[in-house]
Amino acid sequence: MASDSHRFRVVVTDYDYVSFDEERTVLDPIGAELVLEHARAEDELIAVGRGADALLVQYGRITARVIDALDGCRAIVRYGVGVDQVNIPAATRRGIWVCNVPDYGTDEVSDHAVTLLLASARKLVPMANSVQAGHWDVNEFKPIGRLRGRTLGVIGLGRIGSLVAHKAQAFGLRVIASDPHRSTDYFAERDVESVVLDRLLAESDFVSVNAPLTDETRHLIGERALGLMKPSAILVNTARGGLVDGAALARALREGQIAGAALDVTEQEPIPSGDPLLGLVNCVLTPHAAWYSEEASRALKTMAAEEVARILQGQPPRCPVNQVA
Amino acid sequence: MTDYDYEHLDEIHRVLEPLGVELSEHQATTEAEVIDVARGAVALLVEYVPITEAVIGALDGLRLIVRFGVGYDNVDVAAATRHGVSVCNVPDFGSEDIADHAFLLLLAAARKLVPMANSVQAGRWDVNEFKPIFRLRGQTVGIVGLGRTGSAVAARARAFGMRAVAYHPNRPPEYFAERGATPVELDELLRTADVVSLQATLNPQTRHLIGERELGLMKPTAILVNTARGGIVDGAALARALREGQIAGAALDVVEREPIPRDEPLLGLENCLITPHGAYYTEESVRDLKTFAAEEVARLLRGESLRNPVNRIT
Repeated sequence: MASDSHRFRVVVTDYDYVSFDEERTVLDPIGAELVLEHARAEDELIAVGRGADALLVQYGRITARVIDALDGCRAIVRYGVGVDQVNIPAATRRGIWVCNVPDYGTDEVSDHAVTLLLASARKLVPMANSVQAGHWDVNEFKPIGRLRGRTLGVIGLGRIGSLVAHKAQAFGLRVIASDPHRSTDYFAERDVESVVLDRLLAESDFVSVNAPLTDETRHLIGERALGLMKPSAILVNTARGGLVDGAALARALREGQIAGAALDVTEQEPIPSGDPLLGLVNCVLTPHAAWYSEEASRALKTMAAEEVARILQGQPPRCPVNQVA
Repeated sequence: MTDYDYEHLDEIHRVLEPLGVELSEHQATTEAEVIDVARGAVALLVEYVPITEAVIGALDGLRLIVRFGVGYDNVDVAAATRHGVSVCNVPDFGSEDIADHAFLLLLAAARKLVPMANSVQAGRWDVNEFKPIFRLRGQTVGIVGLGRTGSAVAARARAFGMRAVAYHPNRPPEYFAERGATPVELDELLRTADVVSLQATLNPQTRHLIGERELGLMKPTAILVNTARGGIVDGAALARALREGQIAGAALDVVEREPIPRDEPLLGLENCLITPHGAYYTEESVRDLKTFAAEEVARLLRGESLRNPVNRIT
């Protein structure tokens, strides 16, 4: 409980949400004040973090400098799955919990990934736009191959990757995956074959990236990886833009080294106007939307606020990504 | 071959050449042209051109009409039967491909994919422009026509955590159970489904099956998917329903008039996704379609029974 002398101060560092009803429903009963900010630059984040007991973060980069300037903060909770924008070792050193919400929208992300896969395979966006432009000729979109019997390679077989695999299997796709953190049984339960990354890239007709962004996975898909892929292959990324070297991908798409890409995330977001991935007919882009549905949005906000409440009340967090002594 | 829009007919030649059959290839678009080019034919392979009573009556010696595809609404089957001419379709060349396209249309409409992708190309980056989008898990897909393609759509829907209900007249409960769908009457399907997917054949009973009254039964959040035949839906009524927000969206691979005319009221609506009758197409499905259609002709000439007759000649 908040003492009379100190009311909890929970700062939302940045957001593009329309309401905070879910957060207030969770935080009001513990007497926490919710402060809404639009800080993105480091100095702004330092300023808004002063006096905070907990931070709720959407896209803001919580660097070591931001963390070192915090006074009394006990929790940094990221609105989402990825925590790549938070300097976790710096938080651990300061004894601050970093938590994510890994399970609020796994269906949405996997639905969106499969939508992107199918749309690229069947050239849906150019097809639909051609009809609006007065054409009516499926022959403009040759070749399109049958899905059944082709191979999907999932990079990162966690919650979302596993759902992508399950949904893809309903279309008769064979699924292989690379994930260094999973057991043989884990793959077998999902009817997915475990392969190393290079073999996945060489064998797959579709590659879906569902891994977290870390120092090890940054630019995991670069020039070399793209060179291993089939010329008919399609790359789908609903994870983080930084997993893919965008400049190398744009070259590969332009030169026909691979057949297509469908990306919900890019290295810089919002995508800059000169990004080389824009304007390619074989590259479908959506605006970091895979996570979103009304239901997922409500669940995310409730679950993030509940994590803050747990930590402020001295309970163990549900989804910590670091260990605080 | 009365008409076709394929690059080549190699598969047909491969089946018919060993039988010493001559394939006469044409691009007829009218009754008169068909009669003119088909004189003396034993069998017609037909893509889109209408094969009317006048055509069938004018062609002495005609014994078989094979329609290149699942639907055979462009063939007057009753007239063919009266004239002792068999009619076959090819129901199984690409039902999985059509189901893939139908489910893609469902997903794309639900997640507003095409307007989203176009917004990024136009320099925007804001998911909030596309509110609301709802979670698919737990939603109900209503399948009108639980044949090969409808059953394949049901299987895909289950993998996404959706419940399948289906309307298909004159089928026992076991038929639905085997396909993982709950049987319902059409009105109940329309009232309860979050997505209505049409997989029925077009015939006099199903023409404008989905009109003003039926659209009025649907939920305001519902999406209509049609990969079957344009004529099953009253396009003018659908355009009004979409414009007035009576239903949330539509995704159509087929329209009443094809190619789609410039003045089609379904064009230019942000919540109406249209593809150019492409659901059936993959390289593999077209290969199978041509092979299976030619094999029906070969069966006739060898005196074997036909595989997929849609009428019975006594």
